[in-house]
Amino acid sequence: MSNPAPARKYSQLSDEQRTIVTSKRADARHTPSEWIVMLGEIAAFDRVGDRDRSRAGWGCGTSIILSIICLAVFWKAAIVPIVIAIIFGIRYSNLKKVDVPNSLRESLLPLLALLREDMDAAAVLRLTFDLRDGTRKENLLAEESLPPRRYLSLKESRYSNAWFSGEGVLADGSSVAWEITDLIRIHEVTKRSSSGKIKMKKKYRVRRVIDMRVGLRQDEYVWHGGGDAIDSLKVSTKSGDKRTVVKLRRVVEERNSLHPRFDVRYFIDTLAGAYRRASLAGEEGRKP
Amino acid sequence: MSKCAVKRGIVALRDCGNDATDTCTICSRPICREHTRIRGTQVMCVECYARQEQQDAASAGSRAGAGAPKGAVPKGAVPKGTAAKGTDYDENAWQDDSWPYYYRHAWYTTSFYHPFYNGIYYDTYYDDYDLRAFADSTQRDLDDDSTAGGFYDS
Repeated sequence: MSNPAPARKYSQLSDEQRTIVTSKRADARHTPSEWIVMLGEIAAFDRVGDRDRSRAGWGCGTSIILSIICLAVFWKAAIVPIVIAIIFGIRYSNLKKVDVPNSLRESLLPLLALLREDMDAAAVLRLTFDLRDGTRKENLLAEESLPPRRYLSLKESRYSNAWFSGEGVLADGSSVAWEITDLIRIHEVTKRSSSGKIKMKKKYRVRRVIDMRVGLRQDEYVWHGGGDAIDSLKVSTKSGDKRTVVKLRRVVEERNSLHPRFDVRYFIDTLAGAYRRASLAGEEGRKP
Repeated sequence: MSKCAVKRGIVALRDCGNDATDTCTICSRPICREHTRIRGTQVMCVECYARQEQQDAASAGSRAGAGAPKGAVPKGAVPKGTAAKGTDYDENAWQDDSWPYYYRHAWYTTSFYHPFYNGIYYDTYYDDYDLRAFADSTQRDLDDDSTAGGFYDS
């Protein structure tokens, strides 16, 4: 990081924040407000880093084009743009190493801002996330080559990326725990045209599975079930002496991006799925 | 001293609990410093602020959608994360402390969710949300000894 702005921002981060930036992972317990402050500072650093990385990329590209032109005209004149391209390239590479996936500010931070409203200020929230690319070797479930057809071969790879989980206690005493897993299927299609040209194409399909357990206190809520027509969740329950544990599952199809991210609405709708199917203990009517 | 009338929470609402320092000029409810917003010269609660911003966003959006000339809708007239986009939000929305209030208003009105209310200061401001409230919340709060616990604590 030779550029002063991201370097200065990076130097202001704590050890825990630097570990998150470099590893793109975290497993810790903090209050929602502490999480927001900590991850918010990382997001601010990442925004500056993204902006500078983009500039470095453009600078590198422009310098390469300029050096090619100079080489064609007078080779000695190409030395300067080549050196500039190398400097920009190194800067780009350094910033790429500390790039945090945008899902931090697109999904995690908005979700934390909403969860903070539903939790007491001192309540601790455990979060575990891994924002690295989901198609890592350790996530590979199966890989197989489907029977080749004429001029066409197809390879299928399946990955399971459990990238985000957490647990905490809401202000009403209900406990909530969740895990979000991306089930990724990649089809690599290789085609040979009649002229002998070989074309390759990759097709992605991501099924994002949100599993959630909500422990509703029986002295506050009575489980009555139903509501399946509204939110199409898979719901099952288990009753204890003090709590009704509701297991909810939502599956979201994602076609545009392999990156682990989600709209917080899916999360809130899943959480609300437990509350929709409950009523208040001793509820006489809707209002007192 | 009266307490702030704004309710915290998304799936279940509860009382703010802070002492009121001002009064909302729109709904006349007492509000604490944390839930006070200034809009122009008006002091208002964060919920009225969110609703007003959403109305402005919706009307700005409809003006823009009705073929308003380019530049007729001033830049920034449509607040980020407001009802003009429903429950859509951008990556900077979380930085605004009012955003959860925009979001929950838009979410309640589009998802047909009726939030629970487990506080003691019920007020009719939330009638639009058709709250599900405890019948005897005062007594329940006195009896309640602990809110902590795991999933299988029985």
